[in-house]
Amino acid sequence: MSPSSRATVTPKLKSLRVRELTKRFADAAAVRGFDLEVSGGEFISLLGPSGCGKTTTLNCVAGLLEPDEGAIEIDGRDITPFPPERRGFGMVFQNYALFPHLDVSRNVGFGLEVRGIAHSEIGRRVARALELVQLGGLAKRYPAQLSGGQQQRVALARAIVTEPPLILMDEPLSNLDAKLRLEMRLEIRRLHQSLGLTTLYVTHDQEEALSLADRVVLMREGVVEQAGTPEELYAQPRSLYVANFLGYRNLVPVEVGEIRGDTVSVAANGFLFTGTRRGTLAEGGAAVATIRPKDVQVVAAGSPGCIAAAIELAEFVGDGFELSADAGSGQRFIARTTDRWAVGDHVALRLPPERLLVFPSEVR
Amino acid sequence: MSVAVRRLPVRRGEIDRGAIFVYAAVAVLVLVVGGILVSVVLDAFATSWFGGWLPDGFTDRWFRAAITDFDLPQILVATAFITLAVAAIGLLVGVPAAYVLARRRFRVKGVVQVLLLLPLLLPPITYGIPLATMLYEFRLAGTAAGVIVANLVPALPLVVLLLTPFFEQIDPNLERAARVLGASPLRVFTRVLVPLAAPGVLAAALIVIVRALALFELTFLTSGADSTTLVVALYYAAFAPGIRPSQQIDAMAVVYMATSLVLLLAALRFVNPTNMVVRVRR
Amino acid sequence: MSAPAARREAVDSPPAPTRRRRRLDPALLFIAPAVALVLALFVYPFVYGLILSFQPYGEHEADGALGSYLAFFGDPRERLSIWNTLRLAVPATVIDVGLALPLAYRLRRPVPGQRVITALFVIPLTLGTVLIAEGMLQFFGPAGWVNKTLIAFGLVQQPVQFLHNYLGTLISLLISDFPAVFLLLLGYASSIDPALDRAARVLGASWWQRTWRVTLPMLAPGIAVAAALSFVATFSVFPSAVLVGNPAGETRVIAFAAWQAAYERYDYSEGSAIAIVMGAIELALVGAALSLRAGGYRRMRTEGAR
Repeated sequence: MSPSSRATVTPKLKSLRVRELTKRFADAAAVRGFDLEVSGGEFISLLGPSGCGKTTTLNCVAGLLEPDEGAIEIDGRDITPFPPERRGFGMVFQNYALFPHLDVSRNVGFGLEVRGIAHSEIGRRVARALELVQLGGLAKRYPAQLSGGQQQRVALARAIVTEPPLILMDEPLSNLDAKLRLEMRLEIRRLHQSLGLTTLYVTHDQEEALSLADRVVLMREGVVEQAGTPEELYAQPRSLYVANFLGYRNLVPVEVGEIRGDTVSVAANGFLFTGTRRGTLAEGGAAVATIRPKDVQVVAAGSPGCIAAAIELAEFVGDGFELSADAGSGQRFIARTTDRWAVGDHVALRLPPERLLVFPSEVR
Repeated sequence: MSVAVRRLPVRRGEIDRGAIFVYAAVAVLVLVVGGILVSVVLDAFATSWFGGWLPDGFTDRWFRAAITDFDLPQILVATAFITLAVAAIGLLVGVPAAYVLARRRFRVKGVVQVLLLLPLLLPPITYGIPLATMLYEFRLAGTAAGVIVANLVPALPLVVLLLTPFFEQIDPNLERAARVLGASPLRVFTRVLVPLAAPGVLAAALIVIVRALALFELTFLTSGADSTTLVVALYYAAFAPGIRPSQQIDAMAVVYMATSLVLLLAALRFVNPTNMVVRVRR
Repeated sequence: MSAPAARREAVDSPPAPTRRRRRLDPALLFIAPAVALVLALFVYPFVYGLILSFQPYGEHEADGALGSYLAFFGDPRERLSIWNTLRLAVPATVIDVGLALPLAYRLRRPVPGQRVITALFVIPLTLGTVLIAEGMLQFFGPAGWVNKTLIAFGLVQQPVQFLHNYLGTLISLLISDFPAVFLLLLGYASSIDPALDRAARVLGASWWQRTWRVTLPMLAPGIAVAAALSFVATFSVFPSAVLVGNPAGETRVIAFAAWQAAYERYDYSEGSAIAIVMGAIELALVGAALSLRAGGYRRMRTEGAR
């Protein structure tokens, strides 16, 4: 699922270490005790809703924000006191931040120019970077004359041309339309691999994070909620929050019945079903059962061990249908199937116990 | 490896030289402008002020003298009438023009824009002298109407320039929605646009009033005995030193100053200071 | 599409809905009063003045159509008023822009008390040239606080002559014109996307490099406009040249010369001629400044790269 192939080129960075990073804005902590260890060549995605502190973390790593506590280390060296211009990282900004008064080649060459590199060398490296992002013919255009996708490519070229040990990306695809977003996603991953980059990528889009990253760090209100490979997060969300963020859209408030190891039986609205235990549950206590739409199986009415429901809405989504099924007592399930069902059909829903996760009700 | 978590005052310790420069500049400004204003006020209330750091004594007789000598009530009435009329006519004519410039494209738009910018780019004297000559022929010279007409020349472009960007940032879909809901264009203008534009229009009105109050040249060239505004009266008073005691001139200045500053305070409640000057775009 | 196909389509397709006749957009009526007003009160007087300036009056009538212009340029004292004006307007503009630029540049990022500071800068703008000049009579006078302070600190022995000369007029221009320049530049400076500065930092640019390569080039159009408008204001200097200057000598500015011709000698023709000369000089200089700006700005206008 996630691209696990490592870079073919030796990465310039050995390790990035973020230690106990804390950043407060007017007393409210935007990031609290953030810890992260990245080894060279990794693609790390910081994922979370807006306001979760992911961009603040990125800006602290870039040096654009000064952390209140904690340290940033590159290859074991503490770079926390360094201003951004002395860190030598590459960064792609959300709105690209291309210099409107400079043409494409001077935008891309900016980082080399300020390092005092010879003109001939700048010309060569800029040309190569533009080739890499497939913008060879547009060197003399100004940002205003480029499409959104082209601007994005210029921003990428500008970030990689200095061959930085670490590339930081702040929601780089959020301003593109869906088709372009997919295209650029591949492009970014391709550049990451072929150039042996180490990338820290901020996004609020779970699909983007899961498809791009070697490891995903899911943040919530300034702290790390769960970190791991995309597979881990996808299959074993540690909390209801993570599950919900990663596409567990069916939430059923339940009462905990018998607990046997990791298997737990729960009851809700007169249904009884079995799920997989997540976290600490107490028999007789309240919990939330959750399952992805695509794990809900829609079968013929009357099947044993299933919940009876009626199809309420059916939406064609390309490779199948998304159904909303009413199970009575106001409980609705969203299911994804390839079978065609009509609105009003009576069906049965099977919830596979290994896919139905039961979390303690959140107090937060 | 154990790295203790520590507070980092590293770069924060750096002195913000820029901020120091800002405060130094503000200090100079406050000293000079404040010094000017305070000396004017003190002198206006002084019995006399020879050589000392402070006046020799205080009195209000210069103000009482100003009321009779300068016919201050008449000047104040004329000033209020003229500035308000300039603002009212300027808005009445300028608001629809700003709207059209913000929303429509038409063939001579560029010409119209330049035409509306020129009066702000030329010194008032340049067109003021021929305008005053023309007003004489129409027997408007020296009347309040003549002064209003002359002041409209820079006031109208100011209104248009201030309000065009304001109309531009009102979502055109609001107008479309109103049209689809059955409102006629005129109703859209009066019921949707004018309420939405009210803050901008108010700001423009205040800026025009403040500027008309201080604009000297045009009023100077066109005003007569019963259409003299405060600023022109102040100029005449100061232009003839020796004839009047400085305290009396300063009393006049205090009246003018107080009027301006009250208006400025009112304006600053609604207007961002950077909008007090015209920003030319395009 | 080949020609026959096009013809066929023209025949087969249902008659196009009759195109609405090109009527005058009624919205354009909205702009008509403004245009009429500017034409009547600005363009007409201007043309009227232009014609008047070619109809010399009195003793200059014999010199033909150019009599009034010849009278102005032929008289060294009159001619000198152009130099007198430039000598005030150019330094005032340069100094004000030079001081306002670093201030505005720094104030892109707010400092504590930002609102109060900008409000303070508006005060001289509101007061206008006449009051500033009038107020200087006391403050900068021989017995005013400035001279008292200078003497008290032993910096001078005798009071400095600040008034009724070139220096007095220049000071009054500097004070009255500064706020407009500053506020204008502040507006431009704060509209620069701060992400550009951040991008330049991450790319390794030092403070100087960011200033020279990013901020100043981006501010250049704003600087041109501010300088142009400042020049417009200072070039038309009149009341302060009279009140705190020496209108009979070194600060006999062109606006004063025009006023004298028209209102003291009642020579409206020469008054208009001088006014036209004044406008021409000013427009030429401002036009030069603004065309530089247009060249630099055109390619920067963008939605995406804002």
